[in-house]
Order: sequence, then structure tokens, then C-alpha cells
Amino acid sequence: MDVVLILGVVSGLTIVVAIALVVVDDHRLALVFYLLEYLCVGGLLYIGGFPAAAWTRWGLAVAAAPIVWLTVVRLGRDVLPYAAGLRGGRWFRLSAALLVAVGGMGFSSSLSGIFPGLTPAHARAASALFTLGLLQLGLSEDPLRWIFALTTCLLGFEVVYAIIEPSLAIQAILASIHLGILVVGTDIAVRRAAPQNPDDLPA
Amino acid sequence: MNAPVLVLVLAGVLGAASFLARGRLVMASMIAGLGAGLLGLFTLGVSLDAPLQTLVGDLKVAGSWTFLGRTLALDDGNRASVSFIFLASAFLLTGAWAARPVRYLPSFGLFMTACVAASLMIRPFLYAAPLLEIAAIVGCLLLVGERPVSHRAGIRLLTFYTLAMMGLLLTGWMLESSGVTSATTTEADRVFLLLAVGLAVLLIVPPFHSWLPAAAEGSDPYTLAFVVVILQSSGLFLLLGFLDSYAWLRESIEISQRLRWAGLVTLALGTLWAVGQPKGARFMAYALLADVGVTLLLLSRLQAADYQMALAMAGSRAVGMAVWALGSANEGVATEESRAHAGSRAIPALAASLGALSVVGAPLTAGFPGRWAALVRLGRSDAWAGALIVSSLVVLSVSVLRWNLGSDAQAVADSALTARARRTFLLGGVLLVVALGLFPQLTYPWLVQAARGLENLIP
Repeated sequence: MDVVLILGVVSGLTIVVAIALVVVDDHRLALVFYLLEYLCVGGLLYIGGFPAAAWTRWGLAVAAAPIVWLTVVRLGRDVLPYAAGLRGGRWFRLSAALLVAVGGMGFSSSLSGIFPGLTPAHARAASALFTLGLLQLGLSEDPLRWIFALTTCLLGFEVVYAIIEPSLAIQAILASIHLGILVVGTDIAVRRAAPQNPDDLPA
Repeated sequence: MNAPVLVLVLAGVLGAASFLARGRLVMASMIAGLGAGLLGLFTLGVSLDAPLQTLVGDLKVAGSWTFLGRTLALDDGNRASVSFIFLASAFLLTGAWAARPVRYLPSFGLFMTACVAASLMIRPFLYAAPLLEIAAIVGCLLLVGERPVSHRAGIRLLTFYTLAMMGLLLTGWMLESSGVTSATTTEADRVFLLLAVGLAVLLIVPPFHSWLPAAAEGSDPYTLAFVVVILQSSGLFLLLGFLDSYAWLRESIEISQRLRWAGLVTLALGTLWAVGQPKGARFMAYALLADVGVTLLLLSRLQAADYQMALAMAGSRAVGMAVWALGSANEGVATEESRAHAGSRAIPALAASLGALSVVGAPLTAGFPGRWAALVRLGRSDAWAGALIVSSLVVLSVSVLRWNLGSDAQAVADSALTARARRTFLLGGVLLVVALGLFPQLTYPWLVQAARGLENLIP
């Protein structure tokens, strides 16, 4: 099998998944794309020869799934309308995401020039993830969307950083930061949705 | 026994004990505050790598601990800065009970301090960034609070810190692996850009300050004061660490110029924005920016005495912010007993005003000696900086004095004993601000020692 071709395919898939994450309204569907993002990044790192970093990302996906799922279930449809956290319509977000992804990929050639060992496929995925994460940060301040956005940025960064600095210690610290963001974001989402006044509680 | 591990484990245990006692705020504050104080004194005074004779035999405290290729080290290079962070934290946490902050401020505050202390102890020091990010995660939880009025501040803080962490980690890698010097112009420019973004976030330089006014609106003032003081001090130590480690950075005229411009802009914007604020908390957020601007102007001179003065200003900022927050948190509440006495209602307002005056650097307050020293040092060589410092001081002091000292007090359930203790504590804060303003020699010689280990900066 041609490794370069596989890397290209996984990189493309990562970008498509990240764009889909920006576009979808439904939090449950967004969670699926979010987990796919982790799987794709893990795949990119595994194929690139960094299995420890890849397994860390897959492990994070396993940890993130129940945390975010339980939060989405707890918030429920009534408390949080699906599209509440996102600005603009679906077509607006799609066009913005495509523009940003193309811009990010344009930047990728200089990225692979700066960091040795970074293949064009890795650089494309990294820059697209980072810029799409930034776009999401600008589109929403909803805590769940914020988790998706910030960790997407972080995943983009980690594609580069895992290659240039494959130290296990730093991978562990970065993984704990992912978990910290997940826990804090979901905690804020749940507490924000909780009734502020005892009188608001159902009888 | 290992000093860094002992310090961090004890901080964790004390934090956990304080968390368990969160229902009794006085006890939780005392556990965390006194614990942080003891840890600060321990890091400052412990005899490292030398046998200590005890009742049970000789005991040797090792100064470093290696884990997965990274080292946590407590040595003469960083023990003063680690101690500074713990003692600043102790000062704020001990008084937390009087400010009715977020219930878990003492426990989480101690965890946050431990993360910042670890960031000062880690080697290579470039790996401090992820530890500061973990501190920011805790800070985010504290700012959002138990019943979030607004989650915007916490989310913005964590977003900025995550971006800063990425920039600083990449900077570290470039500096270590690419051999960047002032001669390698392209690489140096890249490093400088990433470093500037990272440090601008940590030092709260506009436009990365937007979490601060958001926190002033939606967070408890004492919690905000704690988070700002600890995180901003850690940013200052990180900047000094970079300057100490890389000769081309501390000798660069370009860096000096950019720091000067950042300082001028931060001071001017902070002052202008503060004047336009009707509310005390938002005013303080911007006044703090102006104070950061003065610190940057001092740092731009790249001289030993100015680095020391910047650290001393960080210490006096902690005092001013704490007293303002204590007063501010107690301004709107009163017990049935204190409602009857106009004098007791005036104490919180007086504390809030004096704390604010200290942060803006008004005469006779703890913040003035630092502001005056900055004016004397900068005014001689930089007329713009001198004029801005004076204008900022005058304009912001007048704005504070215009505050309405009276407030509509609401009755709260509070025993007479606690109310009296709180009033006494507030009065103590007021006296402290004035005493440190009148007699700076009590603290400044100690505060400037926090940079003692940076041998390249302060020979």
C-alpha cells in the first residue's frame, strides 16, 4: 500500500470531518463528528509512525464520548435547542468553513517548510483543523460548541507537535489538558442550564 | 525526601482538606492560606541536598525529581520565585473568608498555585506552558463560579491560554532545536511572533485582555483578584525566565522597543477604558491593565533594577487587589447590627476605594512607591512614558475618588462575632495599604528578592 496515498486520504477525511463539525446543528451529530476527528488525527499520527501519540488520541476519544454524551443527554432538547449555540445559517457556515479550510491549506506548505518531518498531508490536516477550530470559536460561545472548537484547534496543533516532539511526558500533559477542557466545558454547560433560583425548580 | 514532590503533594493534600472543609469558609481559608504560607516559607528556607540532623536520624532533602525525562527542580535559581507565588497566594487565600468568595476558592486556589509553582520548577522551563494551561483550567472554573451569571470570562481565559500554550511550546522547540539567534533573522522573527502572542496572553496585554472585563461583570471580585494576581505573576516570571535564558533576547534593542510600545499602548488604553466605566469592578479591570502597562515600560529598559521593580509592583498589586476585592465584596451587605452604624458601613467602602487607589498607584498607598520609581526611572529618558504615567495616575485617582462611597446595604445572615471579625480584618487591610505606602522599606526589599535566582538578568 502506498503510505503517502493513505496519509493523503486520511488527511482529506480529517478536513471533511472538521468542516462537517462546523456545519451541523445537532449536538448529537456534532459529537459523532467530533469523535471522528480524534480517530482521524490518531490515524494520521499512527500512519506517520507515532503510535504512542495516536493511541493517546484514541484513548481521549474513548474518554470524551461518555463525558459529552452524558452532558448532551442531561441538557436535553428543551433546555438547549440544537442550533442555539451557532451563529449564521447552515449555508453561511459551510461557505465560511470551506473558505477557511482552503486558506488554512494554503498556509500548510510553509508549515511543512518550518517543521522538519512534517509531511504535506500532516501539514494540510493540521492547518485546516487549527483554522476551522478558530472559526468555530468565533461562531459560538455555547460551552459545548466551545469544547468542540478549542479541542479542534488543539488537535491541529498536536498533529504538528507530536511529530516534532514525540515525548511521552508532553503527550500525557496535552491529553490531560484535553480532559480538563472537556470537564470544565461540560460542567459550565450543565451549571449554566441549571435553574438559578430554587423557585424555578419543577414542583 | 524530595523538595519539589513534597511541596506539590502537600499542596494537593492541603487543597483536598480545604475542599472537604468548604462548608466552613473560615476553616477552608485558614487551611489553604496558612498551608500556602508554610509552603512558601519551606521553599525559601529549606536546606537542599544537605543532611539535616533530626530526632529520627539524618534527613536529606533532594532538590530535583525526574519523571519521564522532565525534571522538577527547586534550587537557588527558582526558590525565591516559587516562594513569592506561594506567599502571594497565602496572602489572598487567608483573607478569602472575609470576602464571601466562591466556596471552593481556597481549595482550588491552592491547586492553581501548585500548578504555577510546578511551572516555575520544571526543567527545561519551556515546558511551563502546559502547566500554566492547567492552572488556567482551574482559574476558569473559579471565574465561572457555582451559579454562573456569565461563563464568558472563563471560556475566554481558557481559550487565550490554550493559544498561548501552543505558541510557547512551538517557541521552545524552535529555540532548542533550531539554534535561533539574532543573526538568524527569519527564524528569530518567527520565534518573536509566537513568543509575543504567548506572553501577551499571560501578561494580559490588549487585545488578549477581554476576559478581564467579562470577569469583572460576571465573577466574584475576590476570586477575580486571586486569579489575576497568580496568573499574571506567573506570566511575569516566564518572561523573565526567557530573558534570563537567551542572551540575544535580553540584548535585543528591537525587543526593548516592542515592549515599550506594548507598555505605552496598554497604559493609555487601560486608562481611557477605565475612565469610561461606571462600575467599580470594570474600572478595576482596566486600571489593572494600566498597571500592567507600567510594568511593561519598566521591563522595556532591560535593566536589573527595573526587573526587580516590576516584581515589586506585582507584589503591591496583590495587596491592592485583595483590599479592593475585600471591600467591594462587603460593600453591598450588612448585618442588622452594622445597619445601625454608619461608621461600620463606611469601612468596606473605604477598603474598596483605598485598594483601588493602590492599584492605580496613588500617593500614600502600597502601589505608589512602585509607580514613583517607574516614573523616576522612565521619566528621565522617555518623556512620553513619563507623561503617560503621571496622567494615568492623576486621572484614575480622581475617578476612584468620585466613586459613591455609600451603598444600599442588604441584610445577610451573619453572626455579630463574624461581622466584627470581618470589620477588623477590613480595617487591617486598609491600614496595610497605607502602611506599605508610607513605609515601602517594609516590603520592597523583600519583594525585589523574588528575582534573585535569575543570575543573567540580575548579577
